[in-house]
Amino acid sequence: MFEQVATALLKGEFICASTAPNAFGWLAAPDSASEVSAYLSKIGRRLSKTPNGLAYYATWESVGSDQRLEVKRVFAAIKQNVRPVIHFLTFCMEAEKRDSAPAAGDRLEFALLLKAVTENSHLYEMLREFGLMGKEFTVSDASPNGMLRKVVQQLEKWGYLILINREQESYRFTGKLDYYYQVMDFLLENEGDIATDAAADSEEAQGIQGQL
Amino acid sequence: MSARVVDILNALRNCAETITVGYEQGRIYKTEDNARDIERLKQLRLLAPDIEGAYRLRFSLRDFLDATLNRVRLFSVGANIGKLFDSLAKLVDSHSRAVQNGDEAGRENYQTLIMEMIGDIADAIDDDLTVLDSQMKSGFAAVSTLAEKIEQNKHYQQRAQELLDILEAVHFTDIEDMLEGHDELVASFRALLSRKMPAFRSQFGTILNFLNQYLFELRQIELRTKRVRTFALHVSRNPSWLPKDWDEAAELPEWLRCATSLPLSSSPDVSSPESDEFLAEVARSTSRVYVARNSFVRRAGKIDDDASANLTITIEETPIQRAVRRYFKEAKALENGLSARAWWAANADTIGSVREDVWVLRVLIEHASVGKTGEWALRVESTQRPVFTANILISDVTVLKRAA
Repeated sequence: MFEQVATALLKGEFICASTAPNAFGWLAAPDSASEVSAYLSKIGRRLSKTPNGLAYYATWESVGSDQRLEVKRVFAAIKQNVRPVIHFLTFCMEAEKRDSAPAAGDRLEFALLLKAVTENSHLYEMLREFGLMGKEFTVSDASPNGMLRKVVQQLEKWGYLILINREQESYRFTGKLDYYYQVMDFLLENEGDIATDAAADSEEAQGIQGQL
Repeated sequence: MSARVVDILNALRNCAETITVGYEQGRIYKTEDNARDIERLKQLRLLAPDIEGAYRLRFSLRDFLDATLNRVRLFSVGANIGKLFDSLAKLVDSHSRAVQNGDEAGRENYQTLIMEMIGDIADAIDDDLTVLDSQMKSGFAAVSTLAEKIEQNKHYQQRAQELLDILEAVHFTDIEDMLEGHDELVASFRALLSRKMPAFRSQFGTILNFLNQYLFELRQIELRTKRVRTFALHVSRNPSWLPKDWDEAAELPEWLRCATSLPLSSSPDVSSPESDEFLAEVARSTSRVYVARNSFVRRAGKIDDDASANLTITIEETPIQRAVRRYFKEAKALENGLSARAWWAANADTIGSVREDVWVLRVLIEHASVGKTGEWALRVESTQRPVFTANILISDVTVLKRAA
């Protein structure tokens, strides 16, 4: 199991209960985690886990000039997917009529999403908006099925979804979603304009409640 | 008394269909078919009038069916166990007074009531445990929204805490002491309640801990959802928004230190016999190959040097390779050569679906890679572009016999 885990981490993969349940369970044991940590530290890396402990991944132990280039690459990828992913999360919440944000391990049924999109013009508009978010969402087949398939496949490619049943087209959110929430929390706490927007919304909501 | 019980049970059996409809649909309307059942059930106080001329099952029967079928209703209240314990204490007091007064009939009556009450309390606690346990395991599956789950959790958390408090209070009462000397009552109290109390308290404690933790998690989900909505709203209101250059920060956040993929590749050690099979597998996996074995004759009395019978793997030519070989063979024999485009036009069967421009390019590549050792020369037909671009436009190439 050590070899499997170490190789996956060095390949930049996120290990979670959805993508590699055995490896994730093995890493949860303190002895295994310290064994992997010791190995990674010999090659300038360390074992990190997301704030809710839903995924493990490798991080740089120290960041020098060589790693800066890699950091820029990671950040470029985040910049590229930060908008489509949050759009997809709200899209899922509306399509499934749920009042809680998706979490790692939650199931996603392609057929149910497609049904919701075809029955609801607002969801269809939300789906179309993906086309404006980058060339990776451009499709030649502009039907709801074609667009939704492209979006789901892209989220799978980015590692946020994993296909668990090919016939039923059932997916599951992976532990990488917890990593995304980690990024989102950081941005919410450190980017002043988002905090200002949120405070204004909260005041507005309180004002409306007060009037009522 | 027993005849009356049998009568009631028979009535229940005869009216089973009507009772089922009333239980499952919550209301029964009188029809010609069920009119008799309705009258009978009304008489037995198992059916009560509802609105608009309909009838409903009385609570006692519905509650009995719920408990038997383990059906949990939202915000179910269970029995009032605190009141049941109060009643038990009063019955025990009355029993003591009857004993002191030498009232034998009263004592016997109170003894029966106490034993029934002990059983009722044990059943009520057990029913509550079942309800709480099933709610806990299902994660309040009967409701779907987060707000409803939080409400359900708070309700059952309160219920579990209330029951735990009652059981802890009962531990310090003197009911068991007051029953001393009445063996049957003491045995019943100990078997059904006293000895089970530690297990009951432990189970309620476990459920309470779970519900506390679950509520905490639900609150976390609530907070996460709020944050997702805030972030989504900000992103949607500001289409040009992008995160600041956090990659330039002196102290990088943990998520940005994510080590990217390290390209890993391995190759078999060709000097190791253990790699033979792997190498053979690689060769087999390349396109269009067939495997042949060298045939040899083993001569008697002589050690065979080539006993290993090496596997010979021959890679079959692709159509384009075959076409290139044939074209060069024909062209290099001709003094005036052979135009690549002319050959392409004349040999469609050999070339297959390869496009004309690709074919000319392929001939050029062949010449560039093995032209020095090949016995041919190459003539390129090209034109310059009107504006200098450092490129030429090749219209055809001719392969011809190399001058001696």
